[in-house]
Amino acid sequence: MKGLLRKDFYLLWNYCRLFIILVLGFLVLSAFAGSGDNAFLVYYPCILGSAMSINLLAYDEAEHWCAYCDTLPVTRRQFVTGKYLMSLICAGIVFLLSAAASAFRLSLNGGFDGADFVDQLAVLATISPLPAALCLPLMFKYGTQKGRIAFFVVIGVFCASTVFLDVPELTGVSLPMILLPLMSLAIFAASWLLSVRFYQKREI
Amino acid sequence: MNALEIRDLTKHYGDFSLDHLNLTLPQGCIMGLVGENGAGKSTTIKLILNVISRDGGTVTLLGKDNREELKLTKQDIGVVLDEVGISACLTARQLGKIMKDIYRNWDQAAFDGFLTRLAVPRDKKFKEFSRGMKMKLGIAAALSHHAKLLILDEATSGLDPVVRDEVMDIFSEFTRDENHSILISSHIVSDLEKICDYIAFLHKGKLLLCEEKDRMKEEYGVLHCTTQEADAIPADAVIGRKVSAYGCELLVKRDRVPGNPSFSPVDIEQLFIIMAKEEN
Repeated sequence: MKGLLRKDFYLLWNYCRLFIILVLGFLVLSAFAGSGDNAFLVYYPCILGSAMSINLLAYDEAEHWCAYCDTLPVTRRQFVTGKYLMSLICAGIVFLLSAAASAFRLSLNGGFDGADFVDQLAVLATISPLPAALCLPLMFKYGTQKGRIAFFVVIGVFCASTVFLDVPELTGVSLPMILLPLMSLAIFAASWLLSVRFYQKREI
Repeated sequence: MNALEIRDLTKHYGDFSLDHLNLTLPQGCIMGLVGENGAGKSTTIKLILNVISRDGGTVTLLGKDNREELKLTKQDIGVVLDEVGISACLTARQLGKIMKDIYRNWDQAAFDGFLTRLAVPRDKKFKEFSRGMKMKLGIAAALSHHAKLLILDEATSGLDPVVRDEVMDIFSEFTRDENHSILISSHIVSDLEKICDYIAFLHKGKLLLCEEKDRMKEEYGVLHCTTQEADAIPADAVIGRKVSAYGCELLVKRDRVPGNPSFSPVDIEQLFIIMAKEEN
């Protein structure tokens, strides 16, 4: 597992630098997003963070690493788990940076409100693991080319939803916000199990 | 103990079937798997590594069923695939670090030794390598964790003759240890002829022949004769024939030819081509 993660970090550094710069750019923009009408800017970095493992899997397939991995003392469950761990790591880092950007933005917009900030964190934590959770099972089952369609659908749905997702109006939502990230993590765990099942049966 | 035992291995794809394949590779030996494109060589290797599901039969790798604890067994197996499969952005140095975390017995000194011997640059990215260089890095990685069995799928294709010879020497050195074995598939029959103890002919998913190379050479021979002399040879002795203006060239089973004619040694490639044509 350590070897797989090490390889993914090498790939991340070589292939996803532009992605990282893009995420940082959006984070800076989201920190200065004004009074909060820009849900897209606030949440999009999380989508990008989660998408990195999707990119890594696409490279693995295109460069025949998946087939090579089958010859190494690595199980398919470990291979899938490695991708989900990478996804959690990337999403986690972007979540922390997004949280910092949100705190900065809320302070900038006339005073930091604790409840507002917790709501923001809850939404960020909910969004972060979802793109990978929704796309990876399809990529493991049908291959990355077909699986990428799912990613574009996720992006489309996200963009459409930002029209309705108004950041400041989250304040005072009666639903216990902590439930949302927990539900998201449950979906992520279910997605991991599904991916393991799909990939163990797939013939490369 | 045999390094590899395949019994009645069967796999059906759309219009292709691997048909009750039986192979035995004793420890300390090299077996060459010869076959045209689509003969089933890569399918056989995938089935050996349990990468694809089989429809029937058993595969025993280093004494263990390949469905049980294969992850552990793979610690003792080195594999080089046709496409190698190393990520394009990785360097040999980075690959060494990755493999150190994957293989229990990874030997960095041995890996460095192979890189030097095969003149593989350490800090150049894999995508900048020539095909031959890519293959050499794959071979170096496969040989650097004290494997007992090497499985090579077209590992010598794309190598220039000098490097190919060098790689063949490395494979021969590897099997000096009686616990080491190699299964190698290749189109280049001359390579296999040079180093293999056993040769297996695979054609359209069927095993045409699997025999010790030396025995194969003893058993089969080439007879140069006139057309009239050729007609006098029993049909069951003749595997194939080539007629030209200068006479007849017969590929025969030596023990079935009456008298004591003088045979030329058989060429393995020629034998395979004739057997495949007969099968067609």
